[in-house]
Amino acid sequence: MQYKSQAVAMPYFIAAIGLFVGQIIFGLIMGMQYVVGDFLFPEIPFNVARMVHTNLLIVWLLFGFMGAAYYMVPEESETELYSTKLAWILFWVFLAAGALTILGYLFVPYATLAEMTGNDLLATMGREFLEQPLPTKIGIVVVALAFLFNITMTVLKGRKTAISVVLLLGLWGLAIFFLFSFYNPHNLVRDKLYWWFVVHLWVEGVWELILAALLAFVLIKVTGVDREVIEKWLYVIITLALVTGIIGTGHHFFWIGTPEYWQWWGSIFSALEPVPFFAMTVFAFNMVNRRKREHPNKAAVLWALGTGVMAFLGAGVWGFLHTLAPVNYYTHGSQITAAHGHMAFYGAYVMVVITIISYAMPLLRGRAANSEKAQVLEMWSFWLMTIAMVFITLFLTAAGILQVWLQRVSDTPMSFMAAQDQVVLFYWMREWAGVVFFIGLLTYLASFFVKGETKAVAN
Amino acid sequence: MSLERKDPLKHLMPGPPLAVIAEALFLINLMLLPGIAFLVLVALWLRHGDHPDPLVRNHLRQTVVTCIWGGGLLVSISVAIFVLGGFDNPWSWVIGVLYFVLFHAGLILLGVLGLVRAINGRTWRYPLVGPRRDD
Repeated sequence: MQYKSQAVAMPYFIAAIGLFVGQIIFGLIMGMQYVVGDFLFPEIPFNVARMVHTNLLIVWLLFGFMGAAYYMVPEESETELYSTKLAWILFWVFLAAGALTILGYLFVPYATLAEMTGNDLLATMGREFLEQPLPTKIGIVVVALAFLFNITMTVLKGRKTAISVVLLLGLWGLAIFFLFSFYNPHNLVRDKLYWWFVVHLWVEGVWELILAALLAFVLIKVTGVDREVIEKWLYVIITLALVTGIIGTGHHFFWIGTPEYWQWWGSIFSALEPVPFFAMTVFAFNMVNRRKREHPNKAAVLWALGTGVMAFLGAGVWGFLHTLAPVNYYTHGSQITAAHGHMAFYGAYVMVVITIISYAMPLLRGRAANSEKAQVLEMWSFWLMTIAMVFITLFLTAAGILQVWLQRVSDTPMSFMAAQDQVVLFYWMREWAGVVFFIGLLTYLASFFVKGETKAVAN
Repeated sequence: MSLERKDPLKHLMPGPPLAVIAEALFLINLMLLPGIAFLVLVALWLRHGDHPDPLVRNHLRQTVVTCIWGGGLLVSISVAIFVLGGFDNPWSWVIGVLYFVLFHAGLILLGVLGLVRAINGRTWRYPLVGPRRDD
């Protein structure tokens, strides 16, 4: 660790991992509810478990992004953080707000929660992924603005690099597009349209910039390749991401009541969306392949390579699978979408956050890399989680194809619930793959506590 | 014959351009212009198959042979799944789509490795179907 203030990243990383564990536990609960409908009912109904599962994902990734920024920016800018104190305050505010929101979901009926938190003043609740009560949404904006102030001031007073500028662009975009969550028009078509401005332009727009910046930072550190070479790749990747991703939003506009031309625009541009992910895969492998020395932190290198491959498969290949309008006409909202969502989020965002944690945590703990034993365990966790996620995706895809056929293609189409009964075998297999994923996650946690001979930081 | 290669830590593309083009065409054939990119690749191989740089020969031969084998297995097994299982059978679709996506994505990922090796001026052999010798 080159700058003292980088230490503030550690609590963010710890919180991120803790919430990740919570997310997977609720994922397992939901997976069980798919096959045993009244599992944990009425204590944790399916809709609540789903809300907690997806909201925890968003919150822990945000913790991960913030931790990454606090770690990376001082090093990139070659200066201490503008205010370490502010970063600490924001950590506790965000953690408290997140915890209270999740507890609210779990212990207060959603309608009562809406009433209690002023949803009648400005109705923003009740929309998928944006279920947060109004005070939480305002809290997110306040935390995001204060965080951006801190990071931007740090960049402004220090060295400006392509990585820090791309990271800033992504983080500012994240905050700005979240503002659309406050706009909730009565017209359902317009409501959906602006809802996608948050959801799509986050994950298929500005978050990709954050992903690319994080990956570039780690690759410079672990390969020793010239910054100029990596920065050229970074420019290409973010250009591709923005050119394809922004108009690619149109693939969500096919069937919500927008004009028909969106079927063309959405299909063409989103068919190109795998290209930046493909470039990221080439980028990661290219940089690691050309390095001249082995970095002691092999686990971080593995996570970086895994990010490239899994992001391409999950976001790129599985996204393309159902993105063309004539295909999406049949597959829309089926388990194929769930398959894509799981692998894309894991491959692109979960893995890149773990990459930066894997690289930064040993340094934050005063060593260049963890002991060989700890790294072996961490690499085991990589394979367990990644292979489990591949199987989760395959089982959901199989369930989705069967569902589409039985429910939408067949000459004698079944009702939704009747079709669900026919794919239950795949849901069981998905649940078991989920258990393996959870074991992988516990292995990952255990790797932090394994002792052994560590590698010292070179001076 | 000894050939000087650029330093991979300092140059964006230290490998020979022809090798990179061959691997790029392999990927374009899989992702953007199936058939057309393959024909261009074959034309390139016919013209430069005896190139003095062994690296160029290696990548040209690997990509052409893998294109033929990979494409053959991708198409023939997919067709077989649907013909044997029947288009009206949902299980044909489950197995057929999963097979196609996995095999296709697998070829792309191998192509990425080939492209990276070409960019960095290194030889590459596609697993299983890639020829052992380059001439």
